[in-house]
Parts: sequence; structure tokens; C-alpha cells
Amino acid sequence: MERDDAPNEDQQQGQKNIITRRTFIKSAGRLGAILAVGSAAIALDATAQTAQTPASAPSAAPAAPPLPGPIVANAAVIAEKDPVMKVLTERPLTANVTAENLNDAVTPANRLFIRNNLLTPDLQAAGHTLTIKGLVVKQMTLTLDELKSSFPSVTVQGMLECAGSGRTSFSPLPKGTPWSPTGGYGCPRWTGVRLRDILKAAGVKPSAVHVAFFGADFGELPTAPPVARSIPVSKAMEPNTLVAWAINGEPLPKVHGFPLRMMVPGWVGSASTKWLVGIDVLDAPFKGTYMDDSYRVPAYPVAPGERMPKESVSTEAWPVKSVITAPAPNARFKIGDSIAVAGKAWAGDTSIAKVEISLDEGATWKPAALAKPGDKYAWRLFTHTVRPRRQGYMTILARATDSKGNVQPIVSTWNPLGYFWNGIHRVGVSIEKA
Amino acid sequence: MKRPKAFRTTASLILLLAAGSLLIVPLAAGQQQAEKLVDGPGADLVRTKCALCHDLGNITRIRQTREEWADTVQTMIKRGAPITPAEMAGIVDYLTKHYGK
Repeated sequence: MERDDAPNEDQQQGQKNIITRRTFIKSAGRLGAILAVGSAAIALDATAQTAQTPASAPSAAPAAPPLPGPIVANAAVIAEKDPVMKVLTERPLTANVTAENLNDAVTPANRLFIRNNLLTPDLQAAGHTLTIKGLVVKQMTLTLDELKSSFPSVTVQGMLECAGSGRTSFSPLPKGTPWSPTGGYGCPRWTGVRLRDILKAAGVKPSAVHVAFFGADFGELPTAPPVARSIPVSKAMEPNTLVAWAINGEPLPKVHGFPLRMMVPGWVGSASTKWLVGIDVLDAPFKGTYMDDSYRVPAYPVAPGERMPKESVSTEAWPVKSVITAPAPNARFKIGDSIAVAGKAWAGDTSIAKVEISLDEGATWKPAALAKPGDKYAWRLFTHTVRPRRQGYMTILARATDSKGNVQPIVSTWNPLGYFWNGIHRVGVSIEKA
Repeated sequence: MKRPKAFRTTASLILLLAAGSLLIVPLAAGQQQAEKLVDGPGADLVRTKCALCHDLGNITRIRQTREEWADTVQTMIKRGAPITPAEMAGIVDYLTKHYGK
């Protein structure tokens, strides 16, 4: 946000501060613009050491060239979010909403989790284009208006969930964003056009196998490769796979991909490329570090703590999962109260068959009431009433089963990158004498 | 660094700091990260190179073997980190010694 101001301030200080200026441009122009602030006390302490930084830094940290475009500062991103959200990492920006704050049937945009890999580009709708190329009969470049007027608009409620959602439940803790046991997902309504309509207009050649998506985001270093991922043609042609420009009827917030993003509901979030500018139809999965080094799980189970084996597979659809959104952890009730248990269940490419509740650590289960199913990739709401008869601590467990008979595990299979946590969620509450 | 802060806290500090020098904010965060890293040979290298793009918490919260740290650093090089082979050796040594398992 203050990138333009940085050099001016330095110019006033003169040439002798050239290294300071470089350091400043690097840190203030980039880090400063995007960093959410730490504590004010630490900030003031740090100024005393400012002068020492350039002396040891310059040889090891050459000044980086300017960014290729404007970015949105983390502070500006955060200002639009609900205060219940918590920042997990500042660089890259990630932010979490835990289950008890996800009671809305449709996730509001200001409670949708944030997972950036790079910076938040400050894009404009005017002039933004989407190019479709590769194994197509007709390469196309469309403006937003052309996209909206060429194909039917559809609105779909669908799950968006980071592959690493729930990662801190794994032991030992794998590397990656430290998503809390719940959070890292949301289920808003997305509006856009079907990717398959675009692909049909372009004419997909028979040799097509995967479809890759490219965003306009960039990193702090010009050497950072784009965050490019691809999905199989079959999923690209799925009618719920959208090129989307709106969330809950409003334009996408900048951090969520304004003005255009992919929405591949039910699959790992990294399939849903933000700031979409390019679609490339390929004869094989895209080759790149975000396909080869991330978003992979072992082809067979490995012992907790083991290294990724050579045989690994790309993450695609989420397995069956559920969370209790009410009551909140540590809520207090009285004996005889009617406790309304509520939650959400979802199941990647399949659907939810049942959700069960246990009050005895899984020894016995009772069925929860399921709301009517909505859109194919929307989460399913469940409710259950509990009337506690004795005082003390009570643990409520929820367990979902999908349409193929897959049941949530007690603990998810450990994997080196910490993906697909779908272990049974538990919420503890206190019951007091009436 | 403390556990993640609520947005509300952050938002109130933004106003506070916006009034101060622009220089304060990034260095504050950098300092905050630097304080988290165990001192020792290679620590400066990690601060200088790894923190170019990401929080140092991404390092300090996990424990990895030498092979895993080498994998991680290799991936970071593929993602644009300006790290020479000699620097990589120093970084992997440091990470293995202080954040190994």
C-alpha cells in the first residue's frame, strides 16, 4: 500500500542511505505492504536495530526488482474480514475460521478462509481477459463481458477446502500451513459460467487429458514460478466446475480471486485457481512444482513421520467429513437443558448418506437429522437434540458416512504433507446442576 | 511469536502503526521472526534467504530429518529461492541441527 511512498522518503535521506533504501524497498515495499503487523511494542524495539541490518545483509540479500504489478496489502484484506478470523501465517497470507464460527448455511465471504501461495494481486475488472489455449480447435481470449454474455450464468453452492485443512490434528505435525483441527473450508454460493461450456466453444481435441489453470498472482521474487495446477478433463467437464466471478451474489473479494477464479467444488482448494487468466488444455497433467512437490499423498500408507515415497498420487476429491458447528467448545449447560447440536457434512465427489452422534466416545451412535440435500457439492446440514441427565463434562462426536459407504475415521491416515484430515470431530461441553 | 492473533487485534494495531514510520512495520515483523530462530551457524543464512518469501514459523513449528530438510530446500529453490549449492548445505546443516528429528 505504501510502495509508492517508500522511495520518496528515502530520497530525502540522501545517497548515503542507498543500502538502507534497497533494504527498505525490499522490506517496506514488499514485506511491509503485505505484512499484517506484529505487536506495537516489538515494532518500536526493532527500530533501534534498524541501522545494523544493512551492514550484514547486502551481500546475501540483493535488492529485488519491483513487483510486476500492484498488490493488496494484508491489512486491507483483513479489514474486509470478520474479526472471528485468525491469521495463521502472514507470508504467504493464510487465515482460518473454526467450526463454531461456521454456523451459516451459506458461508459469508467475510468468513471464507484465506490461503494464498504468493501475494494478493490488485487486479481490475476492466481489461481483464481469459485465454484458452492448448489442445483446442480454436484458441480464444475473452474479456469478462464476453465471458458473461457468451455462456449461460449458473450459481452453485459448493465446498472450497484447502487440502491441508485440519493439518494440526496430525501427529507428528507435517510441514505446511498450520490449519487448526477445524477450519480451512467454506461453502459459499458461486456464480459464473461452466468451464465445459467454454471448452466446448473452444473445441477440445481428443488427445486432451488434463486442463491447467493459471492465475495472475506473483511472488516477491521474480524467480517464483506461477502457482499452476491441472485437473482431469472429466472433472473439467463436470457441470459444477465453474469459471466464477461472484460469491454470494457479490463480486469476488480481491483476496479470493477478483475478478475471476476457478471453482472446482469438492476437490482440494488448490484446483480452484484464483485470479484466473489462462486455461491450457494438455495431453498430460501439468508439470510444475505445485503438481510435483505439493498436493500429493503417498500411493500407500506410510508410518507417521516417514518421508514421501516415490510412489505418490495427486490430491483430488476430499473424502467424507463432518464438523459440529454448535454447541461451541466448552459451552455450559444445565441438566435437563435441550442442547441443539448442529453441523455440516460433505463428501467430495460423493454425497452424504448419514450422520451419527455419539455421547460415549463412539461406543454407541444415534442418527442425526439431515436437512434436504442442496447442490451436489454443497455441505449437508445436520441437527440433533441432546438432553443431558448428569453433571460433568460431556463430549459430543459426529461421524458421517457417504453414499459409497465410506465412514469418517477416528484418526486420518498420516501422510507427509498433512492432507485430507477428516477424523471424527468432537466438541466438549460442561453440564452443571439445574 | 505468539499464537495467531485475531483480526480485531491486528486491525487496531494497523491504525496505531500507520501513524508511525513506514520503516517500522516490516522490520518489526522481520525482527519478530528473527527472534524465533535458534542462534547458530547458518541462522543468518536462513533469516536472509528463507524469510525472503515466507514466515520463519513455517520452519520452526516442524521437525524434519536431514533428507526431508534437503527435500524442502530443494523445493524452495524450484519455487524461486536464490540459494546456491553451498548455501543450501549450510541451510540444511542448520535446520537439521536445530529443527531435526
